[in-house]
Amino acid sequence: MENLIAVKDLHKDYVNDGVVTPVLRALNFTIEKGEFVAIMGPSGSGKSTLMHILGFLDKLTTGEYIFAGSNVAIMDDNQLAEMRGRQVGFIFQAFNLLPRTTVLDNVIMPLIYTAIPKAERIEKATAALQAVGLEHRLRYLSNQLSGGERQRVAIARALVNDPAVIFADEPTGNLDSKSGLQIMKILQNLNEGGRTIILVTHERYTAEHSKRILRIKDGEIVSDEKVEKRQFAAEGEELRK
Amino acid sequence: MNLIENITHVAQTLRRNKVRSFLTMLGVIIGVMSLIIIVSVGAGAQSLIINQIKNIGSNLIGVLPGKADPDGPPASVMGVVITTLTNADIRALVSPDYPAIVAATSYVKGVDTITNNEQKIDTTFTGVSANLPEVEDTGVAAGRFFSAEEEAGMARVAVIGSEVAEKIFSDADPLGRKIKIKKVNFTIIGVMKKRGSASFQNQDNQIYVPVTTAQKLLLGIDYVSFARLKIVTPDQVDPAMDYARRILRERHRIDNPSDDDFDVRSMASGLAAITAITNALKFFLAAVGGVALIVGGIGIMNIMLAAVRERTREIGLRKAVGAKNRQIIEQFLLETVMITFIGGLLGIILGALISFAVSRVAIGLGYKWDFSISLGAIFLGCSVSIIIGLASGILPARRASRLDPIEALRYE
Repeated sequence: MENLIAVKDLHKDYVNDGVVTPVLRALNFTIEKGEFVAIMGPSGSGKSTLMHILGFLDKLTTGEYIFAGSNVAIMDDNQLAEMRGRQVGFIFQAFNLLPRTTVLDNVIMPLIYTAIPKAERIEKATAALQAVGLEHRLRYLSNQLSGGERQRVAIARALVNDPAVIFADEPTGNLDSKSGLQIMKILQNLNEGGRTIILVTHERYTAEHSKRILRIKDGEIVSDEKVEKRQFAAEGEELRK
Repeated sequence: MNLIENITHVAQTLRRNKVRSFLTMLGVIIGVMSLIIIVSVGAGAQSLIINQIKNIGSNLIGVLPGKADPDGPPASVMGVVITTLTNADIRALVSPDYPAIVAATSYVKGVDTITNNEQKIDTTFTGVSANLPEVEDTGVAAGRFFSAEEEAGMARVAVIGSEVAEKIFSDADPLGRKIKIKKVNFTIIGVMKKRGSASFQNQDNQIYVPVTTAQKLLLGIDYVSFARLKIVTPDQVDPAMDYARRILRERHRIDNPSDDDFDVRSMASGLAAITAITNALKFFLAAVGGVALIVGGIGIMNIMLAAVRERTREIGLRKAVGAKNRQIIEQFLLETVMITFIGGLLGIILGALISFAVSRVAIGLGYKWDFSISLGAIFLGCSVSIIIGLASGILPARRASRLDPIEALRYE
């Protein structure tokens, strides 16, 4: 399999009032296309920062980040925005849907910054909502949905531009266990379909739904292992916390 | 996303916050509305004033007692009684040697309760010369105007306006009837044609008596308060003014024009003065409207800055899904410009409606008022509102575009 992501000696420092705080130190790893990787670690370990850098939302301080053969470290703001629009989709813990906006418009949102014609946008958004089982909720306002449904809308939004990677930042954190399980099932199904998924979580059980766990502590990778006993989110099962 | 899509997208955002969008617009609505009203009502008022003066005639010269001040009002307007101008002065200006001045009339005014046997009304009487109908381009509807002989002989005759006739005599024929002014009996020999209002005076509410009669029998004076000269054609007005000044200086033994004890004015100079005053007024009111617009613009900037803060997460999200800084700026700028542009349109419509109502009221009150909304004013209203949108939107839009997406997504 080909490398989608290659990180070499990646460092990230935050500078606050002249005080330099290292957040990530000398990270080296690769992620192949079609992998389902969980980045796991306690809060403050740097896992979210790593996801932001991998998702083109933040810039690394030193080192190298190659995404699909392109050197991300030398990209400017506009190029990074372009990468976010084409290559990645985000799922956030807090859903981050536009309030008082229809489900369909929420899912269409990433496409309005592309050159895709309007009719095709609606088509793609409808297809994405079908993929998460919400085709009957197109005209609902986002605030009329349950938490689980909202996160499924967020997944549809992440899928709509057919990205190379989906980043999920604690996607089950705000959900009850049943809804959380549904979300994990959707992510597993997407991965089975060939989609690369990078999951950020502090929960071991959630991480075990992936195929590989990168454990991170104090900004360093402490282990990088294949999941031996993988959890499968089957229908009816409750997600343990 | 093209412009039209962008506009529909922004329109959706504005619809989601109807009340806030409307309140944000209010400053622009009021500002543009006042701008339109000022321009339209100002033009209407100017037309009213000019019509009033034109009703008197543009080939007339006014002669007033007192020193001339070309930029200020005549001294007599200030309530100063000046006794230097006489009926003889005015008569001397009409002479076969200078045929350009075709007629002249003096004026003196007094106020009294006019009575006949049954009715009493408080009104003004005006002593005028026999050729007032020629000077003011009017005539009698019934009977006749008094003659030069009657004027010279201080005849006790009166010619009344149509409204006075109605008030005192109702339907009866006033000709030959008597009225009392200051206990002196006058015989009514004529009723004037209806003329409406001119120089802001109701011309139909007048009582004309011979100027000599008014001076000697009613007022006990030998001066006149005003005179009008009729010039053969408007292009002769300037030379006739010079002629009148020269004759009056000779009669008053004045060598130096700065010692003049009279003032000769044309309607044109009066028009110019009034136009200058109304223009200054318009400018002042437009400045008030401009201040309203600036205040409205600052209000919009304030609200948009608050909106950027309130929508921080949304901005972060938009950036996370691929929006570039330029696209965020476009979105917020378009929102502000749409708010101000819609506000401007509403302001234009409201301003036009109010201006129309004002013109209806003025016409209802009997004034000749031209209602007009100039394309210039509409264009000004639209462009000013767009400029205010751009000016007040740029700072919030830039602030929005510079938000760090990670910080923005974490914003609570």
